[in-house]
Amino acid sequence: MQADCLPHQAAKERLPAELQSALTLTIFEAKGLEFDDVFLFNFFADSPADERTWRVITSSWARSRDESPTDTAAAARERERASGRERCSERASAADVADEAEGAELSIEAPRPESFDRQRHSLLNEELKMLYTAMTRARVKVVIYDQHEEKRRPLFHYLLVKARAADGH
Amino acid sequence: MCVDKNALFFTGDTCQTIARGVGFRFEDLTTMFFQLGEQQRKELSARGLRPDDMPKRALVQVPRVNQLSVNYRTHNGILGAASQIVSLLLELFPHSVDALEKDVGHFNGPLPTLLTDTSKDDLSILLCGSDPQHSQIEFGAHQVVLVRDQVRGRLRSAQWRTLSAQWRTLSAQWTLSAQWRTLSAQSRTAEDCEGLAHADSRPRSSCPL
Repeated sequence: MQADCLPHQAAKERLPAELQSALTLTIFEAKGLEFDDVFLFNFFADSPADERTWRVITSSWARSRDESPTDTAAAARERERASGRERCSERASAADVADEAEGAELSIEAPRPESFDRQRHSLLNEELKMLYTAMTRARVKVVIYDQHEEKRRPLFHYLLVKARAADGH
Repeated sequence: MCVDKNALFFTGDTCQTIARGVGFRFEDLTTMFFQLGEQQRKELSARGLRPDDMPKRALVQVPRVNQLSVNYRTHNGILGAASQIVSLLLELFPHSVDALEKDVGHFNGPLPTLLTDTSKDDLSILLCGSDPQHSQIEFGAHQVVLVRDQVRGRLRSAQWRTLSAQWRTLSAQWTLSAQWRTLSAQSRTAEDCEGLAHADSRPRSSCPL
């Protein structure tokens, strides 16, 4: 199946052996398709949004609303605490984030929150939609691998605090 | 274009509007139809007509929006994480997506895995050996590597060895329930009709390498 994707045989021979059977698509190409397993590669490292933009997530999550069938004790506890300040107009401070994340025993450090500016951080809108689209291609497994530790940290931290993802180390 | 203006049918997920600079919401669509209807009423009354005088299909109506709340593709492990991202979108960009009920899957499954220890390139050598010819491949026709763009997503050999080693380790950890597999097998028929579930239906010209 891969062979006819390649421009010529020489290109195929240059591939690492493991790669020869892997289907690699952009998120745009994968839109509307589905796969058992999705391996999202360097989504943050290659993101046009910078690290500060991604850190807006950290200032926002303390107030995000949520309910879901796959509830966990940690997520429920977190939401209960978060709901107390739902109407609070101030952004979460670094101290809030550290405090909130404490119970979750995370292996990654909390990012410094960046306050949200709709104009300056407008890229985040399509970035989050891209991420949503990429993740929802999978029927069974999603693995997110990213080499940019700082850019990936806010979203990783957010999902781990909310108990919506597992730390695969 | 369409004789009966009300016989149009739209489907979509506003969280997946990823074309740059293009936004769409069903809420905006219903607003548009509402305004068209108002405009039509004005035009009719200017000609001395009442809406009741017109055949029903000639009148613009505001379309009904039906939310599909069951997700047949995937399980709640993935849907929970996805809806968490939607929460962020609703919080930060409330006018960019439709506020809908969260969709629910028929079964539970593994949470998305975040690989946080990606600095050790030596891991690949430890797990795979130095000869990639002898490493076992876990990526098959039902797996996909999603990248930003084909050039930047190009994997170097060493990176790829790290990936496949980690993939293998993770696959060993994941055990899916028998129930999941059964339901999954049963649901294939429906998916076949959609034409999305098969390797054959995937684009064949998109491999960059």
